[in-house]
Order: sequence, then structure tokens, then C-alpha cells
Amino acid sequence: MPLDQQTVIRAVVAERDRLYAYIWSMLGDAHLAEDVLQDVTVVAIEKATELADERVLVSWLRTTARYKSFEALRAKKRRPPVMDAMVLDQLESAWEALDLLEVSELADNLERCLGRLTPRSRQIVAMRYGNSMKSGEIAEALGRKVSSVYQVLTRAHRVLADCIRHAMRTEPGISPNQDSKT
Amino acid sequence: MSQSDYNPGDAGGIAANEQARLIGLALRYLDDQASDTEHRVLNDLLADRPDLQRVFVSTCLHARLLSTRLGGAEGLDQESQPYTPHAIGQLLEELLADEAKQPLVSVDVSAQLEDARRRTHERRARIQRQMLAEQPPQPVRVIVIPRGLVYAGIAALLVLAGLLIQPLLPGRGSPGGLAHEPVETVPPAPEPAVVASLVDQTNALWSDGDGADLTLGPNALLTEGQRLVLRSGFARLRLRDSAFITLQGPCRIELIHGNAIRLDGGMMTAICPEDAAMFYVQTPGGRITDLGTEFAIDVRGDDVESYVVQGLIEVVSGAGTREPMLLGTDQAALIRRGVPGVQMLEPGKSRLADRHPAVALRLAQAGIAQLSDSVRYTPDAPPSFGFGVLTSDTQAHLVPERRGVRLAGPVPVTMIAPGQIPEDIDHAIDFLDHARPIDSYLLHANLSQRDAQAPPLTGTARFERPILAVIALSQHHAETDALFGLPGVDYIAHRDHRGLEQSDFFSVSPDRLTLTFKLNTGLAVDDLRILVEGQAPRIEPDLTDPNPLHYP
Repeated sequence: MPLDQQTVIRAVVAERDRLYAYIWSMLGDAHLAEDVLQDVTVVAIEKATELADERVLVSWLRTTARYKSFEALRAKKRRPPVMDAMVLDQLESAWEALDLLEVSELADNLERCLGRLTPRSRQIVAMRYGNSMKSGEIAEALGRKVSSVYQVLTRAHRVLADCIRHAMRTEPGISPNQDSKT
Repeated sequence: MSQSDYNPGDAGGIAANEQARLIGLALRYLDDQASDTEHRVLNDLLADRPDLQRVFVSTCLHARLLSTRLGGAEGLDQESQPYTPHAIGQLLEELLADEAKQPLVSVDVSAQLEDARRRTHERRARIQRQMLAEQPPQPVRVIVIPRGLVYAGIAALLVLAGLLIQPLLPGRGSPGGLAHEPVETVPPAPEPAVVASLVDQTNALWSDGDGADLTLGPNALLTEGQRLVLRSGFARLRLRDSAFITLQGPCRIELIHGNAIRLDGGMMTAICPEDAAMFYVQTPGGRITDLGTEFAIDVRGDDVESYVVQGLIEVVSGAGTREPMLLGTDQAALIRRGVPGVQMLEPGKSRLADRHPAVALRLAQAGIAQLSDSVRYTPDAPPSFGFGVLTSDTQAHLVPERRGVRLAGPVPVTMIAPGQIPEDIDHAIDFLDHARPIDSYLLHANLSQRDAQAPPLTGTARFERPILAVIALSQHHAETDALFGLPGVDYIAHRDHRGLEQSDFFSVSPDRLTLTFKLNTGLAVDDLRILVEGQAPRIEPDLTDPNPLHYP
């Protein structure tokens, strides 16, 4: 039995962040990723209702996203290709493994784990992700080198990853202690 | 994956510096700030590494979630957020919220989506315009300076100006008036690491990664991330941490780091010392890792063939389950871009077995362009060319003899090139008188057992320089052994039974470069001595040098 539009829209909403991250990982360009996500959404609304089984919807969305991403890369004549086809194939397994992950819960934990960062790291994370500033703009605003900004962001991501791993295993308590390394 | 299985850092299995390197590269990549080299390093880090792939995927997802969560932070104007929340996302959520009021199946969402897309683009353009227009002006500071300091400063500037102008005045300073070079104030960019050096090259023509001609001198230093195209000829490189590699043009490589290269097309042979790091070659079809060996790889389009000359290698396909396959001596396998698994080749079916670049280079250095069918190059002469010593039932041996021989006078030969075996071979004779140096080769056919029914050995040998003459009779061999033969090698045994007979055949092509032969070697030894225009003696590089990189 074909899917109804409501089911498709629910799936697109639920998968939006994961799909965006997937597309972004292929394109390495946030603006382009946003355009592609919108294209995928349009295609999903128009075409995904033809699918017979809701269980394949998520993989269908990802396949469509991949196709649309390649299309976008071709349209932009992007050189060099950002990611090897072989590596993209291999990354599929890692994305599939995330399919059962509850993204909203992950986001909640991520937000709580921000408390583990030092004020300086939090400031740079907020500028980068909260204000959508590029690292060069952050560096200029703070009078620092771009490489220093990336070092702080890298360290922040590592602290957050460690914190989330711990949080996912020991829900619900997350210590708000700051990480002394950052 | 359950929530408790989520393992974005995998801190237990990944070295901290490796994880940090990957995340740093991933963040630059996601910002569209990664250089070409960083793109390639990122690809190489991720290839065949499920643990790092998990970290990469998690980093992408975390970056996205941080954008959505922090982008909606309190106190920030929603319109000032360039990318979040998305107009389409808002629309979809509104549709879901309204579903109780209006069945979604009847909604023409396409038009609304197009409208949402347009609004998103407009908003992004507006924000970008705002960002450009709202560059904060640099604050102006008013500083009160004492008048005495102002006078002193003016005086100092006048003195400084005088010093600068002095060399430019006629009759003062340097003749050209340009004694002072401008002071370099920009700190130099860090130079890429040297990861390999060019050991030697033969007839090599190079291009860089962009196709521009490139000249590489002896011991040229090669750097991390450098892309090279060897258009023709041969080259030997020494990697900083591991292997010697022999490249045969045309081929394309990139130096990933001190113990890894990418081979995008063409052939290479690698020799890895036992104590070297695990050298690997990234190819379009997967990765080949040395486990202490000599091996060869041929990349043709999507097909990648690997062949082990000696030792052990690991072959991993870039697709599917990526189960590694180990190959031992004389084994070969095929991997293909996008096709899972490793396909073993039947013994003797590898096109690389006798044709890989190290062999081809040895041939080229010996003045031999190509060997085909039942002939093999044997660089080291046996102690004797007598019956039963240097044997093969399937191939004739082509052995280099003396090089650069100068004739004092005419020498007897069986045939001056070009042409084919004389009709009356037993009585054929000619004389070669040549003023320039001559290189000699002995084509030697010698079965392990005498067998009158043995099939003939046929083949061709193509040389780099013209063939001058061929010696095919025992008598002519005996008269020229001392002149062209190798010192210390016994040419005497069976001296009367090494000539060709009417049932044998040889010819030299009109361009004098190719010898074709068919030898019926059932009951005796067959020898053909081929005299070729000589080449300059070659100096072999010292491959035992403990310092792998020769700094100028």
C-alpha cells in the first residue's frame, strides 16, 4: 500500500538533521547542503508516496540525498571532488548505524554536554554554531589565528563526543564539571 | 544501533592524536576550508577505517545539531540566523500541526515548498547583505601626546628619512641606488614535509599534478601531498619511512606520507625492507599493504591487479565488507572500484609476473625494450653454458655479455643484420667491422633433459639500439667467445654442439631492433649471440645508503 503524504512529511521532519549532516558530509559546504536538503524534501513529498513500505523510507531518503548531492556537485563543477567514491561507499555503513539513534535525545545530551566546556571554548562554539560565523571571522573578532580557532573547536568536539558517549550509557546524569583541558 | 551503543569518540580504539587530526580535518572540510592536500589526507584517513568513519559521521551530526540547538538560542533574533530554522522545516512542522484541521493529502505542498525555498534564499541573501553592511567600524582612540614627544618623533623621522635617502643620492651608496632590499615582513609559510627522494630515473618525462612539465634532477626531494605524473620512462623513489618504489610510465601517483602513496593509474613495483614501516598503496579499488615483501601493482581504469614477487601483502577491497586477503609469493589478485571482494587470479595468469616495472626497468637498463613469448631476461650468467646448467624447458635465457667492446678488426659472424637465417646455415659466414662500441647478448636454450620430441621455443627480443650482427654457428661462437663472452664463464663445454641447424629459425627486423627466433633444442644446446650498438656504461646508485634522503 502506498505511503500517505503525512507519513512522508513526518519522516522528513524526523530525519531532517540526520539528512542534513549526511548531505553536508558529502558536499563539505553548508550552503549547498541546505539547497540539496530542500531539493530532497521536495522530491520526497512528490515521489516518496509511491513507496510501498515505510521501512525503506529512510534509506530512500538517503539514496535520494546522495543522488541530489552528486547532481549539485556536478552543477557546480566542483574540483577536486570532495570525497572519494570508495570512502563515500564505506561511510554508508556508519550512517546506517545511526538510523536507530534518537537524534532529539542526542541533541539534548549535546546541549547538556556544552557545560563540560570551558567558557572560552563555549564562546567559540557559540560563535561558530550559534552565530554561524566562519572560523576566519571568529579569529578576526577575537584577534587570534584561524588555526587556534580550529584547535579549540577540535578539542571541544572531542570533549563533547566523550561526554555524549558517557551520557548515552549512564543516562540521565551528566556532570556539569568543566573539562580542564579546554 | 541503540542509544547505549552510540560511540562517537571510540576513545579506547583510536589514538588520541589520530582522532584529533580527523576531527580537525573534518571541521575544516565542513567549513569548505580544507586544501586539496587536506581533502586527500581526509580521504586516506577514512579509507578502510570503520572506527574513524564513525568519528567522522558523528562529528558531522554533532556540528549540525549544535547549529540547530545553538542557532535558536535565547536572546538572538531568529531572522539573524542565516540557516536555522529552515523555512522548509518550519513549513513542514506547520503542516503537521495543522493535520487535524486539514487532511494533508489534499494540500498542494509543492507550491508551498517552492515558496519556502524562495523565502529561504531571500533571507540568506538579506543576511549576507546585512553582514557586509554591518562590518563594525574600527574604534577610534584619542590619545593625548605630550608636545615634547611630538617634536622628538618628528626629529627621529627626519633622521630616518635622511638615512634612507642617502644611498639614492648621486655619488653616494651603491651605483644603482638600490642598496637596500625591502625588509621581508611576512613570515614564510611552513614548507611541506619531505617524504621521499628520487633515486634515479631512466628516460623519464614528468608532469606535475596539473599537467605542467616538471624537471626532476638527481636526488630530487619530494614532499607530502605532491602529485606526480610519469609520462614515460622509469623512476625509482625511496620513501622516507619504508619502501623503494619503481614506477613505469605512464603512471600517476601522489605521495601521501613517508610510508604511503596513492597510485591512480599505471604500474609500480615496491621493495620493502623487513624493518620498514607497513608501507601501503591506496588505489581506486582498495588498499594494498606490505607485510615485508616485494610486490607489484597495475592500475588500469577501475581494475587493480596486485602481484607478490616475494613475501606477503594484504589486499583490501574498497567496497563491501572489506575483508582483507593475504597474498604470498607468486600469487596475484584483482580488486575493482566499487565491486566488493578480492578476486584471486589463477597461478601464471598475472600480467605482472614477468612484466612488472622493476623487471621492465632492469630490461631497459640492459638495453632491452621488450621480451615476449618463450624468452626471459637472466641478468647473471651461470658458471657454465654447458648442457644441464642454465636450463629451462619453456623459455630461452637472454644473458647480457660484455658491453662496450671495440673491435680491432673484422670478426666472423653468421649474419649481418637485418635479414633472416641463411639458407645454407652450415656454411654461412660474414664479417663485422664496426668502429663504435658493441654490446653482446647470448640467447641460450638448454632443456633440463634431452628430448627429441620437445616443442620448439619461440619468441622475440626487442632491443633499445640496432642489432649489428648475429652469431649462430658453433665455429663463430668459438672464435668470438673470448672477445664478447664474460670472463670466468665456461663457454667450452659442448662447444661443438651449440650452433643452430636447418630446423631452427631466426630473423632480424628491417629496423634492426627485433630478433625473432624458433629453436628446436631437443638434443643439444642452442646459442645465439646478438651484437648490438653499445650504450654508455651506467652507474648504479647505492641502495644500501643508510641515509634515505639526500639533502642538497
